[in-house]
Amino acid sequence: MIDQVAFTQLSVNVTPRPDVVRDSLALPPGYAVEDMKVVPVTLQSQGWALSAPVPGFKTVGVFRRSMTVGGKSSDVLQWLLSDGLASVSIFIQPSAALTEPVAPEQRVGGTLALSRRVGESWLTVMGAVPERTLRRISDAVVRVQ
Amino acid sequence: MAVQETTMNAENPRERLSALIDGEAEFATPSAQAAAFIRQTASDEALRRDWLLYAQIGDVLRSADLAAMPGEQEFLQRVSAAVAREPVVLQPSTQHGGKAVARLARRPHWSTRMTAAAAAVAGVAVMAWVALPGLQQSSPSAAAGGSMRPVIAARVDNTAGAQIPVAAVRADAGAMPMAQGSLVPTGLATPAGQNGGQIVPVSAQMPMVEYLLAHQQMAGGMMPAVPTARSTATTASNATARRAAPATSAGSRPSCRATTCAGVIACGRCAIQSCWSRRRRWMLPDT
Repeated sequence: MIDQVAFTQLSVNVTPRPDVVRDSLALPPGYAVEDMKVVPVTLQSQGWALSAPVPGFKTVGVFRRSMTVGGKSSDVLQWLLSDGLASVSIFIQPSAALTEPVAPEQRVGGTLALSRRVGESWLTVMGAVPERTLRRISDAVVRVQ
Repeated sequence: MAVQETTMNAENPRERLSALIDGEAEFATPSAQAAAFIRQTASDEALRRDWLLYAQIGDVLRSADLAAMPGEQEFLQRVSAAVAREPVVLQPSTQHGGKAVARLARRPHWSTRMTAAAAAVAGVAVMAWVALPGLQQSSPSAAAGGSMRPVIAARVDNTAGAQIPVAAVRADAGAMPMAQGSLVPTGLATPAGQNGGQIVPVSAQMPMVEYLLAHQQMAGGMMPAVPTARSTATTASNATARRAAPATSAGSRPSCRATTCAGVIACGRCAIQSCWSRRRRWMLPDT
């Protein structure tokens, strides 16, 4: 995804004020802080693999996390691949946890998401990479016992 | 001088026109004669064209940049048309009660404090605008979706005066089958967002948003980075920790000012649904 930021006003040479900094560090009133439940796991223990390596991409992290999908919290495996610049996340969750149909392809800016069912699991591959690369990664994901 | 003047007056409207542009001769001071000639110029097509031409000659003599470009009119019309088509992004004004004024008065200049917030609001609005229209299926059915455009509305919180962006998306049924059906009128600014669910929370329209957040959180922006072993261990041990913030006075809607905040998801119902950093997220309890 290509981020864009626009400014309507820019002040330069503004003297930092301690109270402003302190205020900005304080917890915004009315908010609850929720630490993200992200637990690193190994790919082997989760029983997933790539049937064929995707050139350039390496696994840089595998996590179990809770995510709210369709208003319902569920336990999701996030498998992060990267070629050093672009990243691809592979999300795997029990398909039974999905209450509503998910579109097989969705695009958010330059980020494409491909979803498909693999056995009892629902696979979502997402990343700001060329579509061919993403399809290749998506097609390569296999269940290993 | 008087002789030349007389000659000009009598003979050549073009020379009179030139004198008019330069404010010379008979046009140096207001006169009935000058007014008559100006009326004549205004009603005469050829003289009007000459007037424009002379003005342009003067412009070009002063600066070559002022020379007319080929197709300039067409270009200007296209720009005007494009500007007219732009959706209006409303900048919320601030309204605050006496308490808020007193609080602000103790602080440095208002603009100093709000610059970052304004920039963040603008950034979020633009990002939402950039990101939301792209959310559609790649399947051909999406192509039939047509011309519905997302609308960014801004909302003024009457109680706290906080600057809060609200991304209100016109759901395109073809592109987003999961979207709730209600549409938001163009350029809507809903006071306090209580218009009976006219504004659909972004998360309800974008099933992918959670995936996207999770992906962005782990992958970062340009530089993919994952938490180190130590920091993830900390995350795991903190997994069950959830601290509620002190409740604020009723009706107050805070804007997120956390420095570690990586972004804000705007939500129609609660203005700010959550924001997140690498390991934490801030949520309004009632979302």
